[in-house]
Amino acid sequence: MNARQEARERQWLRLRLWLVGAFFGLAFVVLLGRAVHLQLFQHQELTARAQREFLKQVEIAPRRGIIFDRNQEELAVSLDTHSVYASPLKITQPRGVGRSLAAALGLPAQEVIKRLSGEKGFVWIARRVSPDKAEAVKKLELEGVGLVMEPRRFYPYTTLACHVLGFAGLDARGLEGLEKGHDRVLKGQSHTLTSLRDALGRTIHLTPAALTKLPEGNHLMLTLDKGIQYRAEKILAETVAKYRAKGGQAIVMIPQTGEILALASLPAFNPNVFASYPQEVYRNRVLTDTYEPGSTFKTFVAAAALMSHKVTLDQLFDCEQGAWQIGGRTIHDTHEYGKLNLADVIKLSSNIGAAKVGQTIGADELYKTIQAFGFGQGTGVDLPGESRGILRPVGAWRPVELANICFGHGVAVTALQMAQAFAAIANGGVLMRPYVVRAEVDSSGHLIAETQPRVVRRVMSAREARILTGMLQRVTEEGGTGTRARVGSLPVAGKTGTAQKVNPGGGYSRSEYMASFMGFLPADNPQIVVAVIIDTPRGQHYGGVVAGPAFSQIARASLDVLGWQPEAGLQTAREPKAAPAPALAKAKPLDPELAEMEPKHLLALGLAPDLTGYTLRQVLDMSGMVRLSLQGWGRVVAQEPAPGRPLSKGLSLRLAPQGGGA
Amino acid sequence: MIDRRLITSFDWLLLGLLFLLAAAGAVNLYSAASSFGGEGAPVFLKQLYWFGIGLVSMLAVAMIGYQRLDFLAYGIYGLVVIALVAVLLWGKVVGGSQRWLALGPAVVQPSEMARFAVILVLAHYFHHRDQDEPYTLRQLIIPLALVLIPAVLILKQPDLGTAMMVIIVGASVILVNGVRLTSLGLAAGSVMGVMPLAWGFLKDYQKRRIFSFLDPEADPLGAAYHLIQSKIAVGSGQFWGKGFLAGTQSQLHFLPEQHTDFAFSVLAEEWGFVGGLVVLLLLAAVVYRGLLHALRAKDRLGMLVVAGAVASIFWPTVINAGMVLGLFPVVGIPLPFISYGGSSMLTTMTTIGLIQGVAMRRYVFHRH
Repeated sequence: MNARQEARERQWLRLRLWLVGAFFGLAFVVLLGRAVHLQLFQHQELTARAQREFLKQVEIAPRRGIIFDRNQEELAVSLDTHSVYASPLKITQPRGVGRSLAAALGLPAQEVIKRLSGEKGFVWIARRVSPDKAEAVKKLELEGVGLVMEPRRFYPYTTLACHVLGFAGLDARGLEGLEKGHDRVLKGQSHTLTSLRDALGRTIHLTPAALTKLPEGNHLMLTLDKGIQYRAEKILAETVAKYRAKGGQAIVMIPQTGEILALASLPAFNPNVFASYPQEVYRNRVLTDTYEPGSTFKTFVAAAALMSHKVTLDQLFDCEQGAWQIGGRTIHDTHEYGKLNLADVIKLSSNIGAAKVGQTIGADELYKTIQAFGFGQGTGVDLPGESRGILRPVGAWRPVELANICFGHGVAVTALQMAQAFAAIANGGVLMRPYVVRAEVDSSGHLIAETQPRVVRRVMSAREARILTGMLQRVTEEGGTGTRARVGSLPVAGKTGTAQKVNPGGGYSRSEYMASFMGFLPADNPQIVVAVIIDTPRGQHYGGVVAGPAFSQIARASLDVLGWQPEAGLQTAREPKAAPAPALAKAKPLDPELAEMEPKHLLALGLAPDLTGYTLRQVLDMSGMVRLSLQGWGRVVAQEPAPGRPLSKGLSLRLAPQGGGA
Repeated sequence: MIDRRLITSFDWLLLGLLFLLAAAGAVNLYSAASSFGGEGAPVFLKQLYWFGIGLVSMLAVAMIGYQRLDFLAYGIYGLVVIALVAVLLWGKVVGGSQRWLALGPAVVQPSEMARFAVILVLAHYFHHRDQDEPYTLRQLIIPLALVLIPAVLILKQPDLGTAMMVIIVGASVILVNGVRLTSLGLAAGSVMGVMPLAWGFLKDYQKRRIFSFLDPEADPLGAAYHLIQSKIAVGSGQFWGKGFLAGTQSQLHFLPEQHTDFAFSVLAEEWGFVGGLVVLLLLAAVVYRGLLHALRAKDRLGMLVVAGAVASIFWPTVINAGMVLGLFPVVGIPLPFISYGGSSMLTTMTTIGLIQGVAMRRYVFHRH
């Protein structure tokens, strides 16, 4: 080959190599372009996908705090139940493992084996099993089977105070009542654990802190008294049953503070198995539902009369012999009355009289007073779902409407608003905010927050309140509508109410009533406010007849539980922790070490504590299984055996009414 | 025999690039295989050990020189073909494929050596035909047969990736030597025509890989798992990467084959775009040096040998990186220096020995 040919050939070869080089360069550029695309432009999406794969957020269900009543009785607790899970990927012999697991848990073996045979990284075998089953599973020490703590909410007294407590769902989230309203407090800080997961679904890291201690929510101390709540519910239920009523509500409050001692609503439900009840029974009707109060509302007309100074106590109102026409409508009384003064209008519950009093006061003055008592506004109670009621603006009142409002129609209120307003009268005219949460305590017992009684406003002067109380007291006196609400010889101030229910389609029902009685006692030194409302009683419908006896029984039971004596006052009830000074029987003092111990704990040790000065209820509360023989009533004045001695023959106590007078 | 010019003409820069790549590969393998507790030496040490053997082999090949290997071309080729047949008869079955041949204590993968043999035998053939005009299809029957015999034997193992490499490298040598354009068009057309037939010969898993490449999200946990996981790992590496040993997808084993075929995913995840860029540039530099030596080669034999050697670095790089980046379907072709594999490392280094051999002799006129 000649030189020129060779040169041309070489050039052609070089060109080919350059082409190859250009192609190679291009290929590298394409690769880099792809890398830029993936790593610089698509990186967000791909990073998110990566995180979804390897990050697993595990929320540790915190242990909810306990809800205590005012005497540290547990109303809602969290039980340490365990759930059993398995990682089928780690289980080589699902049949053998499945059989032993099924035996330990009392489950059908086929089912368990089936679950273990999958390719999954995680399956539940059983949720929230009993402690003995959990222990049995733990003892098996099976590879690929684990236990995780899943606390379960438990309400030891089932239906007791169900509407106040509400309930928490399986995911430990509060769904109703206090459990919902105070969910954040009870739930505490929720802990989210971030763990890494490998391609087989195995968890790689778990924050070690989470393994040592489960987070725990704070506890709530309520104003409720389990004993009063229980009795109120029981009496209410008996009344509802007796009159075959649709339901009923009862509230017990301390007027001076607004503390709610009992809040009951029927029908009730068992929060442990809340799902088996229809949803409408979850509602705390005491504060979510409104009703037309009827004659109990005359109380506030009387208050307005006193406050406006437009009515004198001896002023007479013509009750028109039971029928009076106003604005084209006729108002009736149940009995025919002639001329009555203000006190008698209240005592006999004359609609016509009340309407005339209202006319005398004038709409503006009446409206102002009703508002001052808190109607048309929320009470501010620390429970969720409160209704404000309906109070139409005074500008819209026609004469007939003014008359109607005077006997509690054309206005809608909640039972709690009524109780709060009556409490203001009992409290010398000062309206208090009702509340159920007394304090918040953390899991180690430190006080986090304490609720102070809160004054909403002064509604009326103490003198006016005293006069009004006197009028209300006459309701339960001979000839009044509320004689059945009496409690022994104690003076009771209250008011009956018999309101026709509003038909769903409008107008008033002729057969359905709300029968109520609300008031406070003793009238001269009010300790408790009680309100009882019976929804649609049958047979009888008068408030005094239907609700009066229930009021009486609940009031009596409440005072008993509180250990209130006419002479002693409510000292012990207000400070349940402060044991009365056991000064009497100190002749043979306890071993100082024993004396420091709480009586309850001494009793548990089988030794007699110094019970002098305790009320019967306090003794019953702490004596538990100890055989008691009792003599008399009131407070403990003598005991056998002496303090510090063993309780081999049980405990005999002598009680006397003046026992605590030390 | 040792000429001073042999030493001065040795491509020291290329050698430097090899060390850098081996270092990058070892560091990455340390991470990629850190979470398996295997028996024996850690994977990255084995890889360095194979790099050492590869260096020896490279130097040996370089010293022997391509002209002397030219005489041995058919001998080497014959040995490789015999070994491939032996593998099919007595080979060790690993993971459904019969690829390894036990030679005393060592286990070798003759298919990796096929590339080297094919380069030599083709260069030898074309050099001795000494034909300047582009080849026609008829003239290419023998070269094509030389490529296809080992390729088919490898395909039987079955090892699609390696067989493809043999074909692609062989085709590269043939193309660089020169093919008439009409013949090229004819060949391309007939390959297209044969494709549907070839489809029937593919194994099920190979078909699935192609399907899954075409639509990866259709079955994310099945066949396309590799592809998607690799893209996720690379993409989540972003610009600077997640850091050494900090790649979540690799350390938690979401990535499959992470120390072999998908080692580059680990690198791109932990070192990000920057790390991937550096490694690709290093490999591109090796290819560039090779092309330079092909241009400077003083004869056709040298040029073709180097072209084949460059092709056997370039193609695995593009195909493996393309697979990791989701541009190609999953084929078991390792990334030179980065993927773990003793045979692969040895072949790559030996092949680079061919380049060095040509480079060293560009000014030496040997008797011939």
